[in-house]
Amino acid sequence: MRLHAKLLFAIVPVFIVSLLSVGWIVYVQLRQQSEDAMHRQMDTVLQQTQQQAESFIETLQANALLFANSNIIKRYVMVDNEIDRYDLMQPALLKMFASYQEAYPHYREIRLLTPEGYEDTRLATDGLPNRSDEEGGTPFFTALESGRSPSHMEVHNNADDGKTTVMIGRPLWLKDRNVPPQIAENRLRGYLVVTASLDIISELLQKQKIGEEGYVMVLDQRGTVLFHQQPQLSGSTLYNLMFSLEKLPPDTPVSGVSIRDTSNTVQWHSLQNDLILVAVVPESEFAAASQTLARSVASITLLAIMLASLTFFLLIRTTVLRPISRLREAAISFGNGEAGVEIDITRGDEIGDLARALCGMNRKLGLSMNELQHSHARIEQLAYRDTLTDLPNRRLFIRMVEQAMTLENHNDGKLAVLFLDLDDFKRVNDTLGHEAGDLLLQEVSVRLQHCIRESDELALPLESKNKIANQVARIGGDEFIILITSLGHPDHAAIVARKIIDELARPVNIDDRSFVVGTSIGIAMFPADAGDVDGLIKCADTAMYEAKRAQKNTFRYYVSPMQANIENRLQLEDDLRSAVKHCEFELYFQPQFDTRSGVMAGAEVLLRWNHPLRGMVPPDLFIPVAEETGMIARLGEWVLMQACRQWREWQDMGIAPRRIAVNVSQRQFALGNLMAAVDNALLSNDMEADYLELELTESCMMEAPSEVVETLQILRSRGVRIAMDDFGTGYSSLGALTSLPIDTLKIDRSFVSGIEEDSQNSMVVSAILMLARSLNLEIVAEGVEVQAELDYLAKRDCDIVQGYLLGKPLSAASMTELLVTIENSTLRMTG
Amino acid sequence: MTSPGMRYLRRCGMLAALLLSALPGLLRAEHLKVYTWPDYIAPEIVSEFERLHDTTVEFSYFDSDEARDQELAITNGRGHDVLLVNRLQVSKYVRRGWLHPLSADDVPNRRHIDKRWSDTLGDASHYAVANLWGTVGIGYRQDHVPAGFRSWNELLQPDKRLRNRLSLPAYTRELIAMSMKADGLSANTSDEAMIIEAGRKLRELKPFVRYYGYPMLDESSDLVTGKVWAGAFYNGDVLRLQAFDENIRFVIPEEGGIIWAGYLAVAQSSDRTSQAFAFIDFLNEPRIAARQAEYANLATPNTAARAYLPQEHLEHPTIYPDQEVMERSEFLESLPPRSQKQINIIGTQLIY
Repeated sequence: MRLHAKLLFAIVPVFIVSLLSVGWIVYVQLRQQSEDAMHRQMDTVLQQTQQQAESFIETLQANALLFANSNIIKRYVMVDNEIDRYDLMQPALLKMFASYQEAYPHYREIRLLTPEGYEDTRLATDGLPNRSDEEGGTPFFTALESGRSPSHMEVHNNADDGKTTVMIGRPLWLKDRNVPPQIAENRLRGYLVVTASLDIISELLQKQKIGEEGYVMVLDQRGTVLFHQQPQLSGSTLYNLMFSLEKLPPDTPVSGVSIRDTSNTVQWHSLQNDLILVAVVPESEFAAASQTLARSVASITLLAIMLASLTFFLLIRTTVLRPISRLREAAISFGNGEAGVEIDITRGDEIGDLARALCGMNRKLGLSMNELQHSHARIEQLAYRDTLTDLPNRRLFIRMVEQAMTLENHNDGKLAVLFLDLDDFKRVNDTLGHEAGDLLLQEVSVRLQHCIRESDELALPLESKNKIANQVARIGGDEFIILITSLGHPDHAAIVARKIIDELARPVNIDDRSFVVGTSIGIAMFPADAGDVDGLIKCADTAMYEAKRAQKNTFRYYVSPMQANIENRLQLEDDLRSAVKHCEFELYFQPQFDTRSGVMAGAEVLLRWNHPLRGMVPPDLFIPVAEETGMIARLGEWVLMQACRQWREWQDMGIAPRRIAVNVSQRQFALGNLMAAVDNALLSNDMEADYLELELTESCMMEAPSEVVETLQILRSRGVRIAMDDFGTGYSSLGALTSLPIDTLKIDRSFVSGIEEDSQNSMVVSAILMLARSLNLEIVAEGVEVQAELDYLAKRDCDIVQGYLLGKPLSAASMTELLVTIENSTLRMTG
Repeated sequence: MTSPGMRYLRRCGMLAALLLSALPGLLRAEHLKVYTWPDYIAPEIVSEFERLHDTTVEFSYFDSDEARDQELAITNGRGHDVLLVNRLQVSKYVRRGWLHPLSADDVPNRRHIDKRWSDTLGDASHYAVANLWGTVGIGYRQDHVPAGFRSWNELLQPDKRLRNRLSLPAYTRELIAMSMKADGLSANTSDEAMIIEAGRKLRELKPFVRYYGYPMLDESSDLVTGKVWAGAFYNGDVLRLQAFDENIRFVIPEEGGIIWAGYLAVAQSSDRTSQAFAFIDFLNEPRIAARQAEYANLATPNTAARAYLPQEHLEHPTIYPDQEVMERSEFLESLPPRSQKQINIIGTQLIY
């Protein structure tokens, strides 16, 4: 068990026990207080209600006395003649009753009863029904008649409307007036009865609340409920409660009294007229209040325990645990030989002593540790690093890739392995010696590391701890291998590759000499291409060779041989064979124009393959296949024959262009039948040789063996023009150019594009134009697409231009139309 | 908060004030005090009397017979010298001891009164002298009610346009009588059930009644201003109001009118009885009686006065209805006590 846990287990129970006891005492105290408060409230409410009720009844009694003593009522009761009573006197009496009622609207009835109980005069609230004029038999009247007191009062609960009223009756005793008062007999003349609505008391009781559910009610002596907060309970009789109350002292709260199956705390008080005022609070109210109280006390206690524990924990941590843990870290650091760790040795307590002891120990450990450290680093260096560049070696690299694979598998990401080979390293090594070669490798490794750092932006947005950084390793003389992790898309590897190619294309200065080192890169993807490190490196290596073979200074993704070479290739071969057989090819003609005269200078013949399923197949796809399979010989013958036949047609029409340029492949020479094919085509169509121009690519011509050059020279001597196509893309030396049998240089479209803006391109083109002029060669610019390019070329005396701006490749029929149009306009101008 | 005791005292004070408001009449005794309808006696007649007898006359007015009864019930008949009492109440006043007997010597001009008017009082005949009589009928505005009225029934079951447009006297007994006549019964029907039924109908009529009371008799009268379009009125009052607006009409309904007769009497409590006698005697001089009848647009029982009255007045069908109309019309008679008690209860629901 750790130290802080031990301390907490020792102290926290003490907190809990003491705080729980405090909580319990507080709870008991508060509960007692709330019960006392509830009892006080009961008492207050009872007193208030009693006061209000008594005041109400006192007022009623006083008013009844006042009404009974009014002159008009005295005079009225003395009138014996009934006609006079009712026809003359009663309206005045009623008017007076009405004015009383106006002053006391809750006096629902004011009546005058005769001594016999006949209802002589009655003023009632509008709409109050009068059951009978004869009151003689009612209990109230009986009580009134027999009572000795000056007034009699009764509370009634009207079953019809649930309203409770109080009736007060006063007998009217008057002496006869027609005899001397001393001897006159005091006779009963009638009774004044006022019936008052007790709505005011009702409303008062409704408003009286004790706690949440407590209430006050009024019972009569028999236990009949006269007032209750729930009006529907008025009129019911609570015998059991009455039975309980008889045994209870007044004005004292008593709990456990049952009312309608609920247990209650009850306090009662006796009112006038045998009425009983009862305050009731259900026990559930007390229970609910105690529960709430218990909950809040419990939560406060709990909170206090938590706070105290937390404070204690923090205190231990800052004063004991953290210093100890700092000392522990220091001890580990000292063990590792890191001397720079500072510890606090100023404390005066036990921890201070420990710190000082640790410092002493560290000093004694001393320097020996340092030395050990250094030799370890050296070993690691030798085992895992390339000594020349300090890059990881193959062993370390493989370990890193394995780690990265595990992570990427986990993160669902991709990895790329790039295999690099420097193209001309051998030459540098051979010519300048190993030291220069080593410098070059060091420079290359720096640039590579720079490239892969920049490529971070291509990575998936993963958290850095879950990511292995991109890595460069050197695994052999001029071979490098690169790991790119967390790739968002396989294409992103190509971006890195291109960046590397560009970066290495910058010249490297060694011993005041400048070198350009090209590179070929192969790319393999994990997990698509291989699932293990060796497989991946092998795939990248294969792809690198593919890149080297295609062209220097480029990159290739690994493509499995199955997919690339076999399926695709065989299919294409089959199709091509069938195409040659079925003549699925067509010739297109792209016009060339003289920049000085604006006249059409000729047309380049272009071959189109209209594949029945795949549509138009581009020449750079099927020409290599045709070359490899040898079909190029037949195809080339066909093209030559077809082009010359078309020329003959135009010649017959008198519209033939000055020159027809046909592309020729190197393989055609190798197969040895080019000469025969040209002869055949010219002869069959009765075509002058100088109308035909043969176009060969620069690279093709540079690599041509001497027999080929001989063939060309023979052809040229017969009048056939020879053009060097795609000039500028190969590596023609000036010397070679002078010795080759050529009439025309065709500037590659890549130089023409954007010539007017690109200073690099314009410099190249200017140089080519100057060269051509000095060698007396004709210049054709290809790929002229915008007016600015044309203007630029014309201004610099480029002879002939060709491109979309001037004319797209046209079918034979369209070309015929164009030639006819030109011929007509020329005729008109000359004619 | 006031204590219950304080409130008790305050309520006592309120009641005392209520009772004291009736007292001022008792405290002033220097004039001849006459208690009558408003606009009943021409001011010139009063001035003439004052000149002749070197005295002053002070009038108090009531606006219904019932109001007068109520006041006298409270004062026990005190506070006035001369009282104008309707025929129905004279004998009751006598029984209460409120009236002073009138001998032939006291009021010599009594001899001009048609004897039938004193005979109808029976035992009470030597306590009061008939003064004027009139008829309660329907007064209305011809312009607002172009169809007019033919019967009490039309007035008591009015078109809804007449809501809050009627004026009725503040005299329950008269209202019941109208309702009875409207139902084709006698104005003096005493059957309690029928009285209760009449009361019910009258309560239903309440929304149509602008007020229960006696109309103003000048141009500010509601019948003139058009606030009231119809109602039950005394014929003389309507005739006077016609002077202010010619659209005002009076009709005695086909069921017949209610005939009212006023009697002059001297209060038992009067301490100026000789002046009171003189005043009654003066009003019975034929010439004065004629002027009073003309002023009030009412019929006089004074046979000698007819000589001083213009033909126009004497032949006016509203003042002296045809024999046929008179036969259908009725005097109010006292009803059995319980019937009257029922009427009083209805009164508390209508007028109070």
